[in-house]
Amino acid sequence: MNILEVKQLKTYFFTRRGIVKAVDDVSFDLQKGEVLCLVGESGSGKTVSALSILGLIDLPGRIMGGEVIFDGKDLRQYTPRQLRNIRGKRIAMIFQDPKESLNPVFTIGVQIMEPMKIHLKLSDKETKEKATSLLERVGIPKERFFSYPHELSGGMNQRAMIAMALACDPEILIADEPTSALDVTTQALFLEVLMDLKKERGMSMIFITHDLGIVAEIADRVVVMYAGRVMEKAEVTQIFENPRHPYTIGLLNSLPNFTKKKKLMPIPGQIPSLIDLRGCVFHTRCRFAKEICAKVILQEATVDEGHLSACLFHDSQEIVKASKEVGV
Amino acid sequence: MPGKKASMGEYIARRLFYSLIIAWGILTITFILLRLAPGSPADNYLANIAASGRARDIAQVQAAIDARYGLDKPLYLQYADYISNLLHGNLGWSLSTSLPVSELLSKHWIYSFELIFLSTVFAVLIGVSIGIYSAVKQRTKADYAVTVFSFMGISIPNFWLGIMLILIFSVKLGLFKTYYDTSLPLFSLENLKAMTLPVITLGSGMLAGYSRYVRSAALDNLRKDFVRTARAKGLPERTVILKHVFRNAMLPVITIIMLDMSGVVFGGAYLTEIIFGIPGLGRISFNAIFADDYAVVVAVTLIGAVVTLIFNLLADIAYTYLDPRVRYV
Amino acid sequence: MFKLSRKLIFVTIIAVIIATIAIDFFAMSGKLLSPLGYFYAFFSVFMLLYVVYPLYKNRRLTSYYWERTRKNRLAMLGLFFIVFLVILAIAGPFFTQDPNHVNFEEKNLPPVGFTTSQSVYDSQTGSLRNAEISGTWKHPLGMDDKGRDILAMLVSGARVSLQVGLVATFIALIIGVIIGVSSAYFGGMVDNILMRFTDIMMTFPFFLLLVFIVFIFGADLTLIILIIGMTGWTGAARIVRSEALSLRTREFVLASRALGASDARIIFRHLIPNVMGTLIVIATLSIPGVILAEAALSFIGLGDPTVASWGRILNAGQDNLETTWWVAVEPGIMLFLTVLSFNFLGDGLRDAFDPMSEL
Ligand SMILES: Nc1ncnc2c1ncn2[C@@H]1O[C@H](COP(=O)(O)OP(=O)(O)OP(=O)(O)O)[C@@H](O)[C@H]1O
Ligand SMILES: [Mg+2]
Repeated sequence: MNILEVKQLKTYFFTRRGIVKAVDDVSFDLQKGEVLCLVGESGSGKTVSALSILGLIDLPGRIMGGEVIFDGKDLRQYTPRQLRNIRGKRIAMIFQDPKESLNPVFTIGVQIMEPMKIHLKLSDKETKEKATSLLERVGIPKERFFSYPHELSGGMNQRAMIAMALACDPEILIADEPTSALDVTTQALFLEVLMDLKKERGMSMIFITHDLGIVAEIADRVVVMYAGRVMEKAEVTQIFENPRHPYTIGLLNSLPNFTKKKKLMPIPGQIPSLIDLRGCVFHTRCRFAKEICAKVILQEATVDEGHLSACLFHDSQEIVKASKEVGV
Repeated sequence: MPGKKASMGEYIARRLFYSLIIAWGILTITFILLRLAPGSPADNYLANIAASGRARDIAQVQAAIDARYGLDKPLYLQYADYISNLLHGNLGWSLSTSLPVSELLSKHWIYSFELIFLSTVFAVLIGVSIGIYSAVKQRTKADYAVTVFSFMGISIPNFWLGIMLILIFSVKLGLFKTYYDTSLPLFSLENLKAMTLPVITLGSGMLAGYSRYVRSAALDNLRKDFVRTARAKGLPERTVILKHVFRNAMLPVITIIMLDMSGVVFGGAYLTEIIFGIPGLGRISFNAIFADDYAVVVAVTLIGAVVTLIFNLLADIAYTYLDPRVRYV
Repeated sequence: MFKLSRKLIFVTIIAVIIATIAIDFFAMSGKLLSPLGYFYAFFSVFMLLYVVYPLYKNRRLTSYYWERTRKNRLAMLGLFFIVFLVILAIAGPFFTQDPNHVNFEEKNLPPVGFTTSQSVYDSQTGSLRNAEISGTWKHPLGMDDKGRDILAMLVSGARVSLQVGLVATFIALIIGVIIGVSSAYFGGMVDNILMRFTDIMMTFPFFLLLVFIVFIFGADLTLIILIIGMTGWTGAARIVRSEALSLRTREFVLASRALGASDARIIFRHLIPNVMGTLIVIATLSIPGVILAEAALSFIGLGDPTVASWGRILNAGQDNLETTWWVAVEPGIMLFLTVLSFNFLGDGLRDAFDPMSEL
């Protein structure tokens, strides 16, 4: 069952140099209890997609079109007040840099209690008790309730962020690269806590990352994004075994642990400017690109049931062959 | 945490000690300036007496004054006397009013205090609000208007503004008296009315400055990630701005407001008192200048410096209290 | 394009000195040897060597900053007014009447477009009578209560304000640079002593200190300029010190030190040119404060009684607000516009040089 459906979302930034189409026609859905991973290089529009779901886009950005169906209703039609009742209560979000994302002048205790105070009708005592038990649940000693963010390590701060996000028992948690500011061991510990909590509470989760290792570990399904568009969507096994988009193949190729042969092949070039894109957004860097790729945009084509690719030639022999070579 | 408190005390002690050194420097520089002055402080006074023919024997008066000022002693003893007198709260004798300077000051400081206090309240309340407002409305017409107005507020010479206010509201419209009525009890309603123009005169420049500081501090913080977190929690925009952004934006602003006291406020208050005839310390010093009454001028300058010193100390301490990240180094 | 050589610069400098003294001679009615004239000469030489020449030499950088400043409309407005003021101060006195010339017949004359009702002395009847008086183009800004032309006084006041603003700021900056750079460069004890001294000077409320010193040493324009310069350097010293501190550890300074460059060479070749941008901004932003300080001193009667400074005109004007309000209004407007212009320009320059800084 779909708990969240994003349909043809468009979020543009109106900058001095032109319109940046940070998210353009992005669609995906999240099923109850699953972990959906958004992957893609830096600047591919993952964060902007996530923020758009909650209506958190600031000027100069604007959501120009699309629907965000949650609980059968379109969040985009909500008034600001209705939307605030969703944020932090039914859909919570945690961010990349925990130190920057916590307010330096309030103790983490205060910050964890804050969403409960506005969303739940609890007494002060209950609020405080709940916050303390949450802290302990994420593995922070309860004396730390009165600590300021700068007094805690990055990993602790990120766990405090989780405690804050889970304060009102949300149905969906959106985690935007929660591990990239942490070192490897802290990362592993953090993921463990996160996944435990997710199971315990039956939450659904959108997990944003560039780390395909983490994807392999936790994802049920994967959405691969590039330059503001969805390149490929599939179950996690399909993505690793049978990728059908040159960009996905490129990503896998640039990773040491996933190539059968030892030859590493980073994708050449850089993500293009998101102003004035024509044709397939990936054609400038695609080694299989044909003339037509510069002219035509393919919304999505079905490879298999539940496996979609935005490549015109996802069935061509070249790509199937490359896919076999890189697939695990 | 207990460790924090201990180092806080230590920190304050260190700042206090440091302030004492500065205070000593202030006294010393003042002394040097006084000694560098051409002639003796009593010269003009004596000349006036001689002209009026009141004193029969000028030489006697001269000797008496020299003895009172200790001018007959060697320099290092004069210095020692000067410091020890000040430490005993003995600020000398006002020649023009025939009162001890300390008595004069204790009678008049309250007027300066009232003016500065009311102006600060006025400036902080309005300046901070429009600063936050224009940051939230960045790049709108309202924001532009605030920016231009604060530039004008900073640039308008406050003594001229005072005169213009008198010209418009007192002379032309007759809404206020042109002169400050000293017979009214302080902080009474009538007295507050009399303070209106002076407070606008002194406060508008301060207000403009504060609104600029606040605006830029608020803009800095509006861009921070924690604002996004606060919004993602579902907080209403009011709470996001007035709690999360405001607390952070006020940290640097409070320090700046305190440090502004000496530069902007004291000079401004001095002139405002003169224009409106408010009998505060500035006005006294002004009168003393034209009566060649050294002791009063020196005392007011010293008081200004000492109060500044106290404000600097308070600014330091306030900052460490308000910003949990500050370590006491 | 011809090349600008040092030789050409020196020739220009000599020309500027001669011009300055000539202007001084004509406009300041023969005060040829006034210390201010020398200040000016020194000031011009320094500006040419350390501001104009480097700006000319790095044309690319100059035009980059210029482009960025130009985008700021308020800054351009400010610059426009400042240029106007400078021209007014230099050329104005040749076209206006003598500011000290007293014409009792026309005293209390309102500005053009205004009419006042005043009691005037009627020479025929030998008594006072009320009459309507309107402003005339002969004295477009009106006359004061002693019968002096206000336009002439404002023009001469512009000269005073600019002199004070430029020269005093210049002195303050030189002291600030010397203290800031030595503090940063030598560090240790030197730094400690200089910075404590700076702290002490900062603790004196600027205007009170000014009043105090002028009270002690007397009110003479040159002296006032010197005093303002010698008390107003603290902010510059602090900023220069912190800039120099961050530069000191940068590669090019380390490299030249490794190559055996002397302290003086490092300071003059590397540190000073690199803080120049900051200095220009500090200068532009301190000039209004200095102009205001002088005006305030004159306003309370502590200014040089021999020059027609805006503050002094204002002081005279405030006593007769009921009758001759324009005497108090006009110099204030000039003062306000001047200060506003420098603030606009300074703000624009700061954004252009360093958009992030919080000076
Ligand atoms: N406020 C903004 N103004 C202009 N452009 C923006 C703004 N925010 C984002 N963008 C643009 O949107 C595009 C997508 O950004 P986004 O942050 O979503 O990327 P991302 O996939 O999350 O990258 P990363 O992995 O680095 O977090 C970028 O090209 C960025 O330049
Ligand atoms: Mg991101």
